[in-house]
Amino acid sequence: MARLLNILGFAGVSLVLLVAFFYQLVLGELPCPLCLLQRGAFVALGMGFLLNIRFGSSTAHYGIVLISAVIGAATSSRQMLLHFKPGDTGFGSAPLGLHFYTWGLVAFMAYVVYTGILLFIETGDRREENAIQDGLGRAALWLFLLVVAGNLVSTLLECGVGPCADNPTTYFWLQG
Amino acid sequence: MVMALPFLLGVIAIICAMVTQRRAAIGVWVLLVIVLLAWLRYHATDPLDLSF
Repeated sequence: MARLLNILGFAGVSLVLLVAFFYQLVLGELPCPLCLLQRGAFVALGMGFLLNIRFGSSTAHYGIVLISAVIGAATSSRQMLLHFKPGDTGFGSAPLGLHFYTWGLVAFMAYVVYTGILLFIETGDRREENAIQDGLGRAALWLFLLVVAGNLVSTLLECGVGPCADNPTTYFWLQG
Repeated sequence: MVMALPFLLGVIAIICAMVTQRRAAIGVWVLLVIVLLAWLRYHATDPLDLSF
């Protein structure tokens, strides 16, 4: 049960990154530096689930999820506070009424609660080196690698080998 | 300051886990966390005109 929920949580991270990718590639909304840092925090968070799936559950792996979620929540909160005042229209689009950084904070907090529930279900530290992987876990792992590698390429295209513009409108490496 | 570095570290950490290098994967994750915090400090420069 805990293993299945770990795979679901892990796939959820890939889904979040894929939705962000959809808005970037299909709708042309380039991510700002703080947006990219929130994506990075999701990658760090996903590592905890990945290690649970790959090596068996461990308290250290859940710690990775929680620490990463707090860093992501801090980044989301910082961006929310930048657009907190009345009259500020915020940064980027707002699917379902909330901007992406606000959804980010919701998701990071949801992962904290989700991890708390998983820790209730876990029966103890059952770390096994090279735990046997099922097809679902293997598929989730490859999807995560693909999405993170995609973010690496798109961030290089957008920012080059340096910091990103505060409000990017073009891909730095694709400029004529 | 390389904005793509967190994702590069992410890819390395995933590959470490895939080739059963658990300790290396956790080590790279620690580096990733340090980079995320450093980059946040670098970018969170706009003063917040708010009082709590």
